[in-house]
Amino acid sequence: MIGALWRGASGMLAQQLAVDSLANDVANVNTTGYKQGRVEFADLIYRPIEEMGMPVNRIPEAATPPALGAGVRVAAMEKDFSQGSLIHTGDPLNLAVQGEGFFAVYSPGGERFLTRDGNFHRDADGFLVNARGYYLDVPFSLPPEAENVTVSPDGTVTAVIDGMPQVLGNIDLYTVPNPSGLEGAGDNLFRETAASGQAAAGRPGTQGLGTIRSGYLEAANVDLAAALTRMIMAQRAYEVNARSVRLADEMWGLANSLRR
Amino acid sequence: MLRGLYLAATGMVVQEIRQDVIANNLANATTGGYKAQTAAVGTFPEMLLQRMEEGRSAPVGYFAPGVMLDQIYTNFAPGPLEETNRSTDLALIDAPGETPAFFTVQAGDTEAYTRNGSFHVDARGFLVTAEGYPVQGERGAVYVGTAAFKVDGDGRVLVDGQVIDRLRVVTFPGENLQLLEGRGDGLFYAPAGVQPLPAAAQIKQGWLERANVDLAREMVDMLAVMRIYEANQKAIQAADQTLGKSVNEVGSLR
Repeated sequence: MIGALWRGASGMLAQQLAVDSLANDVANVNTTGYKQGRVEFADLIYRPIEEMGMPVNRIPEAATPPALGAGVRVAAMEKDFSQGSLIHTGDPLNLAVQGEGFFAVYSPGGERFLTRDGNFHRDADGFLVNARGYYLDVPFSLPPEAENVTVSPDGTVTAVIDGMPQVLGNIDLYTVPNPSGLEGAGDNLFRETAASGQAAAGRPGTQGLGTIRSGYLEAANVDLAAALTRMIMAQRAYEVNARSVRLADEMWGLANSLRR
Repeated sequence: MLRGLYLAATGMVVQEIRQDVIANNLANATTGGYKAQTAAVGTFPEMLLQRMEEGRSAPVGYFAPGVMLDQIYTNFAPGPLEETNRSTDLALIDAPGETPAFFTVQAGDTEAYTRNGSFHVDARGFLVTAEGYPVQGERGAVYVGTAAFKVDGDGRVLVDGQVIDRLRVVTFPGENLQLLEGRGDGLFYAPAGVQPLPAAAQIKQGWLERANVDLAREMVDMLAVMRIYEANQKAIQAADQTLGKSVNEVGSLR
């Protein structure tokens, strides 16, 4: 009896997490560079019924004894790194990656993060920084007199200085072997982990990396219709599990009232 | 009388097990590749009752001392497919009239089989399950590196247009299917002596197979479990009352 209660409870907990993840997606539907989450479930271990002292008509030829599953658990909560649509902004320092790859930004403390959010601007010292003031990984800064900064699809940054167009350097993109292993650090930033593997830099447009689109931002890749459909499914799944908990409780009540 | 008590009690125990199985199905209603289970209830072997008559035993008739669990069957029918557009999501479509196919993964030192094709590329570039078990091709673990890869309908894995491996997709003869042992994580293990056969299934990249749990059926079963459990409880109470009468009232003097 307690078994069925726990199984139902594990199902409720799992669906609760699914709803949390979906609510986060819906809340971030307008967040630049946001990547929607994905929750995956797996069934828990199975325990032979005989071990619990229950009567089993063991069919001799069956190699495996009948076993009861212990419910469900969340196997993975990960990000779906598929491409979001591009939104035109006209600001040449708004960058979007079309295809694979991340921008690398450094915190003032020197920690490297990966991001798809290319909402960069020039700070007072001429460095390219994101909305939070983290530095884009480029080996140059923009001189105060630089005008008409442009970024080409292969990452080359050009500016007009004293009336002369001049190449300042280029922006690299980074990839990791396993993007779903990246750890979300908030603010659209991701941290490398042992599961994601080491990030490697490359020139945009080479080695399978995407290209950079200047003047665009990448919208969140949240599919609102799909997210709401999943939300309905998660809610219904939550309800059936709540039902199985209630039924187990009623059965327990019946067992308790055997002797009146 | 006591026989009746125990008989009804076995009924309650078995309904509990049925409910445990249903609760597990419901908990896994959204688990990718999960296969629903059903508990089959059978009777204990019948026994011949005898009574003593003039110093000799005379048969009375047959009596079954209650019910017990026979087996927990796994329903290997395919679940519905869902499009995800992720290159690491693979779904199996069984060839018509064939037994269900499985992906092969290496779980420790044994092979395991799964219908859940929600794979990942790990930090070293191998195709793995959510738990990190390497997916097996015909040449061992499938290495796709960091490149975008394609899987065609026949299970061939292509990187940059070159076939690098073919996924090891297997099936089992129908009589062996129920011998497969589920041990969680969506994995099934074959007992000793049960050998997988190559399968003719098609693979769809960017699709996932969902659980094949039929919610309406589970709800109906759940109601039935509840009512049978209740009926057995009533039978126990009735037996208890009769027993109480014979113990306390028969032969009492007023």
